[in-house]
Amino acid sequence: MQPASDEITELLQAWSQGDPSAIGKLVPLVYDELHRLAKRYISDERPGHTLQTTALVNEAYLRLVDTSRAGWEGRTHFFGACSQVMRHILVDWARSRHALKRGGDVSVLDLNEAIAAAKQPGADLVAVDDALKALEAIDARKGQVVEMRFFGGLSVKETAEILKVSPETVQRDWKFAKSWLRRELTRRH
Amino acid sequence: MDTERWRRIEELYHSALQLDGNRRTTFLEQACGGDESLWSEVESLLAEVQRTDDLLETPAVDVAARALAASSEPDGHSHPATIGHYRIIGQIGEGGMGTVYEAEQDEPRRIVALKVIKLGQTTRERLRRFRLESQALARLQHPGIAQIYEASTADTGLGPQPFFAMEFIRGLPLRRYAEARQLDTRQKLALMVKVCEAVHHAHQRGLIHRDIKPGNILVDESGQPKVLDFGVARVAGVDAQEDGERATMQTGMGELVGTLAYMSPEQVVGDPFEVDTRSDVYSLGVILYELLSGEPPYQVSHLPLPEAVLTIREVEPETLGSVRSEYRGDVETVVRKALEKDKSRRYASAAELSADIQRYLNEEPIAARPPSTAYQLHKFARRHRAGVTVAGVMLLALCGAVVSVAWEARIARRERDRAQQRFNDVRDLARQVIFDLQNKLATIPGTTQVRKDLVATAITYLGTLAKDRYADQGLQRELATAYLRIGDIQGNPNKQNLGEFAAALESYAKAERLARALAGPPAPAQGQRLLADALIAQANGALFADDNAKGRALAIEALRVVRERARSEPDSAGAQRQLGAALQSVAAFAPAREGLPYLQEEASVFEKILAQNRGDLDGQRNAALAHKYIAGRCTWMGSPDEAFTHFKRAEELDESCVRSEPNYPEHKMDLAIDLSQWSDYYEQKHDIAKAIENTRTALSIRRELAAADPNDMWAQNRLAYIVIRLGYLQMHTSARQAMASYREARSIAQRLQPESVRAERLAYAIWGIGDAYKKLGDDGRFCSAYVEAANLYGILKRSPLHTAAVARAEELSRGCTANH
Repeated sequence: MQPASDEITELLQAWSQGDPSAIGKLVPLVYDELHRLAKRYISDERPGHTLQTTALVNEAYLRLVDTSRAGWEGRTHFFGACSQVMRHILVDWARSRHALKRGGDVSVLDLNEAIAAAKQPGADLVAVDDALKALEAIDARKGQVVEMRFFGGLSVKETAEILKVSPETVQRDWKFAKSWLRRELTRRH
Repeated sequence: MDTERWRRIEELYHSALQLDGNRRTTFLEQACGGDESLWSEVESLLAEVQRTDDLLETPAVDVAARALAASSEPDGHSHPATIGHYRIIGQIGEGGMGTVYEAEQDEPRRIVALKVIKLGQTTRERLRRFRLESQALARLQHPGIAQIYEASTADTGLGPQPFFAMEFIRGLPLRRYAEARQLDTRQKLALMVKVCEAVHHAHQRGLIHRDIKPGNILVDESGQPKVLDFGVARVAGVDAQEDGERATMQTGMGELVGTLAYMSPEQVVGDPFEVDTRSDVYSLGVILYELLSGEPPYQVSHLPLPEAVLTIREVEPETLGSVRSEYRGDVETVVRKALEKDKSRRYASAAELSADIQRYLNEEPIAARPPSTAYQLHKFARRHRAGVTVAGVMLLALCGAVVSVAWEARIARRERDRAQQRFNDVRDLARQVIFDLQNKLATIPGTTQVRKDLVATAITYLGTLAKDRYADQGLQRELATAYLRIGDIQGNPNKQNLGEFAAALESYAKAERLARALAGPPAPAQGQRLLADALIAQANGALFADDNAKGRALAIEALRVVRERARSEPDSAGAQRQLGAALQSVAAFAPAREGLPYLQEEASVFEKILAQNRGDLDGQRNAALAHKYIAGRCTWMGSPDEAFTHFKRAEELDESCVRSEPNYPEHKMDLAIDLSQWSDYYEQKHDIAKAIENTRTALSIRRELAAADPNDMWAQNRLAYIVIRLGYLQMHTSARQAMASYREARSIAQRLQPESVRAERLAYAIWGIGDAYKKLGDDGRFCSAYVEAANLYGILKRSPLHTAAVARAEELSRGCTANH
């Protein structure tokens, strides 16, 4: 049976109310989604066609969750929560891949991967997460902006709605945060 | 970093971004005023700007999915070279949460099957489940169950990676083994005895397998079956709740369907509290059935999930003996008992099942008994609860007696009984749909389409049965009734309908053909009833299609048939009702004054029925209709005072219907029609304000009804009518308001079906728009509206009314163009 949308809604709710175990139960669902998306990339007839940002969250969650029933403070709260869950799960996933490829020894860097990562900062979700944590420590709102934009796949407008600031502010935060994160990511390599 | 400084950096960053080249440098030098670290901080951030265009713009999910897609491994994970002290040789299988490897152990040197949780998916919950499985397996020591050697935890860099090593089995899955070795019945049964014993062993240690299927049973070289994959096994009585969550969360659709065929009825509904060792017994029964007959008892893999579930829960499989006659008797009985839908009727344990198979093999009497006839009848009755009455209970007892006497004679007989039984089952079901279900549904708004689909399905079944040798006149009558019902739903203009008038007439004609054949002996009255119904229905259709000549002929024949019937059944209320309907139909085709006597007779027929039973809703509705028609004609003939008493009576009756069945759309509509007629009455009395008030109330009821079921063309048509009517009345008070109403009417009319109704309402509405333009002094537009209306009436042009309308519209439009 298809994962019941009620269940996911409840899990997200439980998690937002401080039940950390809910996230463990969400993991397989997100993994399934990931594999589904990956299959699409492999079999996509139009290479280069990527999903729209919000479509992603839609794909990942809204397809399964009936927000109207959720008792969230509307759609925005829901998206915000999604972003955090996404981050948590994706970064864990990326971490496990790293560990696997490196034979369990984190200090041994795969050369190709290091080059790839240097070429495309941000492709390394673990590194982004680490840098983001540093940013959050200095400026919580900028951290949230990045979390929602990057991990949650939300648009500037949506992010602004959730944070209750103007889209211009989000745009400024986003720009500054990216500069800061990029510098941070290159420094760490 | 302090907030102050951070803000300053950010501010300088954004300000500097506005500037370029030298101006930026100058600005920063001034702004930082020698604070070197501030300057370098801002500068280093600005240096990144050009390179951040794409940064983080691809959402993280996408990044992850691309990475996964790019990796060569099918699921993004390579095989580890070793796990613990086992060398991985290759992957054998993969389940929902686990991967099984073939692996080599040094000490003792042997090949093992190594099961691990999929890497990167070791959630705490999964860990717990996994440990539970290995602990459960460790308790099992049986030649029929793959033995566990070691359960441990390795460190693969992902934190603890639990695994367990077990016996590696070289063998074939059960069915392939049976085919390859060409096992005969006795050998197959002997093999199943061993499987049952293994499962029983697990049960005794408190473990329910829950996923027993031929693919999970390997038979090795020596002929020993091994039950595998306790991956979804559950320790009896433990954490059913959590388990349920897991089953729905982690079992993908495909996975479930794969094993659905072997699941017991209590398992397919996903109630973990209901699943116990007898669920495994059921699965063993399915395997037994499949192994012996070559086919599983149900073909569910091609069905949508809800249907598959329903099949497993409700449908009795073909008995094994009817698939392969060699299994009639004991083998059939054993398999049937294992496959009982009610688990309390199954073998209580796998050991009991295996013991009974063994008894058969030893040519001893088996413990299972064929189900009693009474039980079978009881089961049938339970499935058709609605139809079971006192008579049904008596019949049951009677059948029980007859059948048990006849039990001995049997096989050919039993075949026939079974066919008869199936025939009756289907027929009963169809009858329930036609008579009960769709009537119940009619009381719920929005179900018109569903009702049609239901009746259409019933017709298909009945049509098939009509060709059967068990078909009798009763069945023909049911089929005729079904055609009448579907005709009503398709397009009875006086009921909720789908506006498929042509199709409705076809259905009625089919009913008529069947009924004509039935109108003679042995039961002429029954046939006459159906024939008259079919004729009246077609006459009503003709009325709507403005085919007066045809309608009149049909109505008159109907009246003749009904009077004949009423003579042969003088006491039948049904015959009286039908007489009323036929009278109404004849009146409908008669001019106002000539029609009155028919309507008066009709009213008295129904009032008589009501005098006998005041609560008769159908009588109330029809009496109300008769009074309404009388009143309408009186109003139309200019004698509103004569109409008044009939209006009052009609309204009283309709209100009583609404009180009895408040949700029934037809009653509400009847009341709305009363209101509309009151508005006619008040208009005649020159009380326009009251006329408008009644029209508005009627309008709000109709709006509600039309919104509740957009497929119901009756409601849509009545809505269009009342909005036009409102526009018409508003012309007395405000041309602008009238214009708005007519425009709304136009847009409603555009959605109407069929074409003739659409054109007529549209013509009215557009004519009204023309009138309103005229009153507002917009000559150009009122002309074009009249022309358009005239064209629409031209399409209709069947009745004198339409012909007159075209002429009038043409005259009006000619007049106005002449003025210009």
